[in-house]
Amino acid sequence: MKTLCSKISNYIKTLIKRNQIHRTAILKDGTSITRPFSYSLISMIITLSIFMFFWNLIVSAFFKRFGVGTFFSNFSNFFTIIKRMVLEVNWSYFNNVLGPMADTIRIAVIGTIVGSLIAIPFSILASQNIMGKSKVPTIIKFFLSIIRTFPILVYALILSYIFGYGPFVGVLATIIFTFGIITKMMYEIIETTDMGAFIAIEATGATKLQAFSAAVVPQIMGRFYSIVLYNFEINLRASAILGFVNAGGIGRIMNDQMALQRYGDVALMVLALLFVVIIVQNISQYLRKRLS
Amino acid sequence: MIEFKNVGKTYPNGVVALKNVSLKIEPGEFVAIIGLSGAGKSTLIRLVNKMTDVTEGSIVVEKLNIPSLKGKALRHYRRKVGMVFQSFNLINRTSVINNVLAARVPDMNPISSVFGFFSKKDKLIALEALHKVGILEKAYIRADQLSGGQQQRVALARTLAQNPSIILADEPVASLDPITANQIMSDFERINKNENITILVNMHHVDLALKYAQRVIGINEGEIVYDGSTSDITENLLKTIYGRELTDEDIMFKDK
Repeated sequence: MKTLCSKISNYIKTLIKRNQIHRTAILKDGTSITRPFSYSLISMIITLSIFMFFWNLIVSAFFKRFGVGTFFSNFSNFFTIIKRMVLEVNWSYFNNVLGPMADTIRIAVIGTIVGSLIAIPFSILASQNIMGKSKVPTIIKFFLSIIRTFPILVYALILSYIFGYGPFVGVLATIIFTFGIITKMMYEIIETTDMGAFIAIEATGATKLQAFSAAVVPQIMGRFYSIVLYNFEINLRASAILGFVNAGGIGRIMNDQMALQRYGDVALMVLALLFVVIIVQNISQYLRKRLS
Repeated sequence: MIEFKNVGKTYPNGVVALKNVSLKIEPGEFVAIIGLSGAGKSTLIRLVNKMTDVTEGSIVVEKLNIPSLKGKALRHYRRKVGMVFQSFNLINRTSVINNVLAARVPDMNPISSVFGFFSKKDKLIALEALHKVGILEKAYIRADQLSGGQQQRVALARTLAQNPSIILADEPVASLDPITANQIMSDFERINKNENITILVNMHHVDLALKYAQRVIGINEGEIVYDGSTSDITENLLKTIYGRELTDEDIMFKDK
């Protein structure tokens, strides 16, 4: 076993050495320079093969069970439901929609504000250029990538097992989701800001936090607001479906009426949602244009 | 007083920036450090406020041992040492006065410093500093709308607002045109005389160094090859500092 290992490692070493000839350039006067060995090609091949493996394992099996035929044979149902929704809009259901709609907006507003406030200190702690040689950014980035792995519905589902049903769970799920995204976007912005001013203020004897708030904050404030607004748009759309897992908002009654096949009520809810989303989107786009 | 004793600096990548440097700078002196780029000028200046750390020897400023300073003591020391950069390093998206006020931040209480609540007294200090460099009327304009020379003046005002006893300037005029460069250098000269602030300036341009500084330190490959009064410098000495004949690049006013 040991000899086999050493044989393999020796073989790899000779491969790398042979490769060195290709990486070396010799100039006219005999001076030579060697480009350092890059592992990017190897890691690309490994990633690709892992991807192919999972593709075979998961995706092809999925298609076998789903059957492309189902898509075509059931496609006509799509038009049946759309037709019923258009023809049978139930305007008298409006009063029942108002409350849950307001809940949906509240979930998005509170979730976005609290989530982005929590994101501020963490995005600073996750920025390597502010934190210097500290390991903290690496640790936070690792946890952030775990947080961003799960979609908002999964958080709502898990939290509803813990805290029961209702808008509170929706707010919590939105906070976690918003925190994950905004922290990520903000540390990327902070890490690419011009550090000259930060260094200059630090040289006047300021602490890192003071230098950050004096030199970096004015440069990134506009983009922070714009990211928060964009996230609010996303959260509003997401909080509409949070109700499907009983996390409050309009999705809950939408789920109910769908199960009862009352497509007229569903149609009215879709219209209400469309109306709110379009208004919010336009206001947010206008504000973001002003900010940039 | 700034005192270097056998200072050496080797960067982690193996580059030897300074070798066995010893020097003494008295309060109120105007010293120009000249040499080729890569000779170690920037390193020498950055050692004074511990933006980089020594690997050998010791630096003593006003009886403080600089390499051993840390945390609060280091920040307290840096209040007295101003720094001006080649690329100005202003906060771009904000007004000139806010840029100058940023130098007051370390003296403020933590909460108002984080939220940028400046007192009337600090604002007056900032305006006075802008007045000293002659751009008071630009106080409420965004810093990135100014010309290069004006931006360097804002940086100078920012340094003055921290009320320093030493100003370090790292190639302050290298990215400016000759006329503006002259104006900035005379600003330094005036500040040196009126406020009695020690000035250490890195220069590439020999003529400006000889015109404004009282004392010149020549560095070649990390070693001091000349240290003396400006008036004693000769053509031959310049050749040893630069390791070659002077070229047009080393002189800002070429026709002189």
